[in-house]
Amino acid sequence: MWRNALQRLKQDITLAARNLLRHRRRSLFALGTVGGGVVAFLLAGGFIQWIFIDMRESTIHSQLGHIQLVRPGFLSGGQSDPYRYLIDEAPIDSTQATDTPAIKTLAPRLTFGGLLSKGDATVSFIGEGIAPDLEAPISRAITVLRGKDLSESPENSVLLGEGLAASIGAEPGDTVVLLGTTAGGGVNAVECQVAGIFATITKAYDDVVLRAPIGIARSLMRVSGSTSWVVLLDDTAHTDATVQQLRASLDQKAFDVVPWSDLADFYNKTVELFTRQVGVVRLLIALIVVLSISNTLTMSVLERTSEIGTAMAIGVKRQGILQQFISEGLLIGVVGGVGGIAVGLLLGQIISSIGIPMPPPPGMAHGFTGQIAITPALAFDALVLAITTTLLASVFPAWKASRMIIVDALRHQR
Amino acid sequence: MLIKLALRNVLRQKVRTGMTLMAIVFGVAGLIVSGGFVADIFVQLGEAIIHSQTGHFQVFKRGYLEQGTRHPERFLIADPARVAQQLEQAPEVSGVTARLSFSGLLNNGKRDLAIVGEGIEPRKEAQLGSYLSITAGRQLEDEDTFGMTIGQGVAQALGIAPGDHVTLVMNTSGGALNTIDMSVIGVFQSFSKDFDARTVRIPLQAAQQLMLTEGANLLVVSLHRTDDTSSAHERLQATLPEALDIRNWRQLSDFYDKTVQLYDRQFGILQLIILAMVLLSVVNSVNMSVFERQSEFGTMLALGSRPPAIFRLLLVESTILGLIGAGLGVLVGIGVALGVSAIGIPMPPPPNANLGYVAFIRIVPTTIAVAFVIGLVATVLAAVFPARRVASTQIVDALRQGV
Repeated sequence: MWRNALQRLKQDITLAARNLLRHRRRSLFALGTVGGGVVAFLLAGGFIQWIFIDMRESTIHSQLGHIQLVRPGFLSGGQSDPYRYLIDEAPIDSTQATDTPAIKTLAPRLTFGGLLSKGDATVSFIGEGIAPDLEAPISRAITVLRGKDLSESPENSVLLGEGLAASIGAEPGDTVVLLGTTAGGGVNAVECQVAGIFATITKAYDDVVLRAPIGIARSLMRVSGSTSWVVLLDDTAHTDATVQQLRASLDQKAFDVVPWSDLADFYNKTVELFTRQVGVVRLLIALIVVLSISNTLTMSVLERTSEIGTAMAIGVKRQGILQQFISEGLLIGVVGGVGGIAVGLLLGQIISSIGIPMPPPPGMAHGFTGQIAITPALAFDALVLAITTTLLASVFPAWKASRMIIVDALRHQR
Repeated sequence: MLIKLALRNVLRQKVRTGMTLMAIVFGVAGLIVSGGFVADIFVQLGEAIIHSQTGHFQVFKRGYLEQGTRHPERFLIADPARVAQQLEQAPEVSGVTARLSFSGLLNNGKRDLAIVGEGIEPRKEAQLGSYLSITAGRQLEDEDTFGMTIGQGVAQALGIAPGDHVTLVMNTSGGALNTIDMSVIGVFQSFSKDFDARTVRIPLQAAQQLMLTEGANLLVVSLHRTDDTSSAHERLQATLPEALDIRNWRQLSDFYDKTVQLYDRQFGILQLIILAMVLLSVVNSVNMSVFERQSEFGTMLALGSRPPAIFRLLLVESTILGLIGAGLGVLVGIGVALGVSAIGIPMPPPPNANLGYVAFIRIVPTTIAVAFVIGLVATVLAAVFPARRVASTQIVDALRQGV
């Protein structure tokens, strides 16, 4: 029984293949449509995928890092009262960090606030104390407009946001005074040199923030700890595993292990919005692919009406006709889909190596080069789309063909 | 004669005509819908920026934008009411409101937070700021002399809610510090999280009292229609005194221009892919239906028609198909656009914001024209190659074909 069915299937497929080879031009058209559709779907999907990957990496490297370790509650209330959330010692000692191969960098940060004055102008600021050398790979979104970065400057220098610098008229090389409240409640002041002026995506951020070496921030606040530790991993894919590992090894009550995705509000929303926007366009592409495939298949079946009539006249059953056309559709779907994926991958490679020049995103000075990232999941989707569409598209004309009246079919288009 | 014959052919081949038409209609409609959708994204982004931040125009003393954050008191418009009245006379203008900027510290009794403040005219601002939604408490009103609305981020950082009392510390023009006690009336949320994190709004009069001035830094002008922006720009500029500068929202928002450029490229590539797909499917159908009729053309050749005549006939047929298909495609595209717009596509909140919006599909005349031309030209050009092949086939070969 099984062997019988297998035999029949084999026969069906051989017959379908022969039919396709016989109608060379029609088959080529159908294959072209299916393959073209798959290529279009792959390129569109791959381009979108690449945009997301690039956006993710630049978000992580802009400021966030992959994981932040903070005291519970710091994220909502830490800005205005950092003293309550201090971490005195590194939560992970260096030996443990080297034991976890995924961890590339571990850097302390200290959030503080106070007044900044130069001459007779005084404004309030929000400060970020950082370790300049360790932070170098996580400050890609911070563009130094004038002057130098902190890592190339002496210990007692600060980097001012563009708007903040403008509001007190500070230029690189000027001397400014930072005024802050110490942990004990007293007032403290530190004199610093302006190393440079920076800008980020967000103007509101540049208007109030200054970046200082963490040593300066600590001496201003008279504390020895930090408010957060930033972890940079070698690969974003390791984030979840590392978060689990850190959560298991650290005291839950003392530390919050926060992955970047919880902090990247901008990224999350962009992805959500962009997914929807692009989803609409992708739906359109898929729709056009589906319609054009079914169009071509319907056409190629209808053109063979008289052939169908002949086949039925010599005794092929309706079911036989149905089976024959569906297996032809299946064959076109598989061959077209696989061929389309091959062409799509090749085109994707070629386009990626040339690059699609993109204009600079808001807040950044330089444009970037777009690429196409085709993931296996996407390729699989495309193949499934091609085969199901082709199969579905061939059901209707095949059914119609099997319902034809023999004499009418024979007389057709003569 | 040729046209009549072509038309008859088109009508006779019902199935083939229908199939080819379908491909063209899908293609043209697809182009219109995708173009309209992308256009809507840009329009919505522009409106969001206009209504949440910049207004259509801003009028201020020359140099305010560049140096104003440092010394807002040096760039005051002395008599804002008179200038506003002058601006309101233009027919495009729907409203003018004055703003006075200041910066300072907000104290909740325990700790300070650096804030940026705006003195506003509550009632007029309410007409402009349709994107600024209140999450707790209520909007500022003209009667609230010592009331204040604060951004959601400010409320969170200081742990304050409507009804609480806060102290506002700010610099006066002399550089001294001035304080005022105010009560929180409402908490607002805008399209920008950073804006919400450090902005408070108080009535213009309170701000004027604090800064000891009668003036304002900014006059925000809103129009009835965003499309009038460029025409109104010059007219308003002419009515203003020399010392004042007027900028439109595109000049004010670097974010918009850059986002539009980037989006344009990103969606441009997707639209290019759609275009390629449309061309492929149109060319495919036209090709197929011409080749399937080879024996018919063989018969014509056998009866004495010359190959150029057949070539011309096919091109005319194709043109007719293209015209009908592209025309129908435009109708279908507009229909789909209207249908989808009537329902609306719910969108999640844009970055830097907490409020979602509803996307539509805009009907853009240029996109429609381009889609029509693409549909027509693609159909005609697609017929050239098969028509030449068919017209130059040997009669006997052609007669035998397609059986």
